[in-house]
Amino acid sequence: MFDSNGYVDLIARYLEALGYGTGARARRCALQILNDLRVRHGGEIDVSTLLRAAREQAALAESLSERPLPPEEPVRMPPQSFRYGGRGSTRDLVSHAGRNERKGGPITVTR
Amino acid sequence: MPRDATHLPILRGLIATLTLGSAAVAVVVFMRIIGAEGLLWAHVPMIVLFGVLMLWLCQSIWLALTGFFVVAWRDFRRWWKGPAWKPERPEPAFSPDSAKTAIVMPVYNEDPGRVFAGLEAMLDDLDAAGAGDRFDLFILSDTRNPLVWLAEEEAWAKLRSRDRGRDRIFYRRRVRNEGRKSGNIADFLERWGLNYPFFIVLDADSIMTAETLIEMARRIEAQPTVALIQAPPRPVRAETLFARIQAFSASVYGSLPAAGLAAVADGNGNFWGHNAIIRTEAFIDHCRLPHLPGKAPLGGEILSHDFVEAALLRRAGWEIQLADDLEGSYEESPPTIIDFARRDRRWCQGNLQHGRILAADDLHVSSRLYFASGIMAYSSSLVWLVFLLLGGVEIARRELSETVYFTGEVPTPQWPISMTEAAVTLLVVTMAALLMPKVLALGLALADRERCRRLGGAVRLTLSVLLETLYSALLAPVMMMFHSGFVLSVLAGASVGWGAQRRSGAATDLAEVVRAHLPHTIAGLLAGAAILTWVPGMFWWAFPVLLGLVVSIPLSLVSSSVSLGHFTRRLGLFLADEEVSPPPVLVRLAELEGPSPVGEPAQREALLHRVIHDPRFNLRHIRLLRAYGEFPEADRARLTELRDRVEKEGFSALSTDEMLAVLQDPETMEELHLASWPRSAAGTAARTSAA
Repeated sequence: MFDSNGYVDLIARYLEALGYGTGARARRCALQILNDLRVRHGGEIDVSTLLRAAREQAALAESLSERPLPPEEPVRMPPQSFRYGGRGSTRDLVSHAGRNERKGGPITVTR
Repeated sequence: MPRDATHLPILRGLIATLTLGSAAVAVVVFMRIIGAEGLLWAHVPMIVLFGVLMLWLCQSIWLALTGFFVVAWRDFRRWWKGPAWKPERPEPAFSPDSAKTAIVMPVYNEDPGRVFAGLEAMLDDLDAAGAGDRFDLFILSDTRNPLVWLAEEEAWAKLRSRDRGRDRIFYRRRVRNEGRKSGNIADFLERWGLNYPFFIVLDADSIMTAETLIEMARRIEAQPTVALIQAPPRPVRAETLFARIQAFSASVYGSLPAAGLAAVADGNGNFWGHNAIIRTEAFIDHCRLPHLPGKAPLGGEILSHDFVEAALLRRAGWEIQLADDLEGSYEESPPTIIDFARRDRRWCQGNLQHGRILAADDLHVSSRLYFASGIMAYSSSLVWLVFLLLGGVEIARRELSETVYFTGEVPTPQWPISMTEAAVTLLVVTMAALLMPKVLALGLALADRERCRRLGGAVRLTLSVLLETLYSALLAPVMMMFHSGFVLSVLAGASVGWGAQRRSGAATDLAEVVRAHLPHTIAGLLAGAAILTWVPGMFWWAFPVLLGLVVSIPLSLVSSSVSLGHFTRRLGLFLADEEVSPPPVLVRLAELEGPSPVGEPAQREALLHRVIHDPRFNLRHIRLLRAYGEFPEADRARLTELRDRVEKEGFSALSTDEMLAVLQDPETMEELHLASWPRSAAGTAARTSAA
């Protein structure tokens, strides 16, 4: 296992690999992460917890510059069908089985 | 700007009359030929089939002729006002308070190298035009190949980083690809559609100039009754001989039918699935595609969704325009006859499904015509084949029956009537009608000196048209056999899967060619032998059809050759406009495109390694999974077992489904990474200190 200084090195290297700072900046951030974790978890911290904290830190900073997707504006596409036999006919050619199970609920267009 | 549509009823009436009239004349002449010695009930099927074929042929010819006048008038105005002239486009060029337009590209196991190079080229073009901030780009992945998926993520990240932090390029991959491409678009619309009043749909091989993207956005914004504007795509970047001939014919002749259709359709245009801008709200309100009852091939998901979406928009009263005057709209055509046929198999099934919707209530008549013409695009081959077979039987019957010169109780002479002259006339007129659009298009190209010079000069251009015509004549019976087989297989209940298209040029291998064309060769040889045995006088009449079938294997092999494609280019043959003077976006695409990032086994291994061991790649992958927020139901016990196997044997020991299960689960991916990174980091540290 790593000792305390090894932890800082490890986190700093991990942050560098994540593209979050280099050299002294990464090391400062690693120390900060380690101190925060010590306060929260006490003496015993496993490596996974350290790396997770570094990932959270990097993801938080990165989310400002590398947003994978814009905010959603949910809307439902109302189902369409084709009818035969003139107006008012109930002969509906189409079914909607298996469509849009994800969102469920009544289907309306909302803005 | 309101459009003047007063001439439309006259134009449509004229084309309908000319189509029906010319088809009727052809049918009457044919009835005289076939019934020279008396019409029989047995002739009725042939006459009906001939009528159907003539209607199909005549409508395309009259549309092409209409297109000729439209294009000739456009060319004349350009010549009169100078080469830089463009049709008037009302101001504003682009409304300053316009909302952003989304450009969406659905992808399914496509080469990420080509896809992202195309997107980057378009973004560069938009930036150069000063409109880069008016568009957001969505890569909508339905990819099921785990390696392609990872390569897409990496290519997206590279593109984002090259874009210097501008927040306009988005990537998401669906976990469940319900509804195929239309379901992919629907998922985009239901999540992000309302952020954008308009969206432009591209195919994975689409590429459009900034000028055309901007102009489409301007036009749809300026016309509140229009829901969709389709910019007809032209094939580009052709490498094989087959693809170059396709690109050449689209470049030289393709504008005529498109211009004809656009002139007649006006607001009753159609949607071809990509290279179109769409009014988001109209599409959301009216285009959630239903499933057809029953199973595939004629039931289930609608494969050719574009025509149906257009019909639904028209049913709701929205207009659809075909912007044939927009030139910067491109796609890549299949590189070989076999790839072309493979794509046609899918389209055939989709178009035949439209037969179930064709007569539904409340559809606009134009939508019914598009459905019918889509069905005929494939069924006409079967009609032609059956017509040829019936014709052969009829001729054999006549040849084999003894001529009776004296009939009746008081024998009077009955001389056989020769209708050879009428038959030859009908054949010549039909061939002339078939060739007329090519001749007219050639005339337009020759009349434009600058363009003619670009396309190799008058001699090479004319020679290219002649060779293309010969090639088309040889290919026609092969495609007839392919299409007839497709129609019959769909009617027999065989359905097609969903596979990625082969888009890049590569010679087809001999075994594949023989498998695909051996039935055609055998059919040609057998038909030839039958004709020589029973009706030898018909041999030369049937020769063009027989020759195409008999030489189908060498024809397919030769035309799939990239080196022959390049050789004909060096000779100045089959030059297309975009090939000799490509727009900057195509030049940029060629610069950016590299080899496929998943082409080599080492590249595939490296991708799988990086997604676990590279902290940045792993974190990005998990963030993308979480950003989309949809996960398959996780079987934790199975995932733990798979994770252990990855740790022991490596990722490549898993099957595709197993890889997908692991890659789609953020927890497992994080566990794998967190367990592996300290080891590899310690190893690296140890190696560094030892060094």
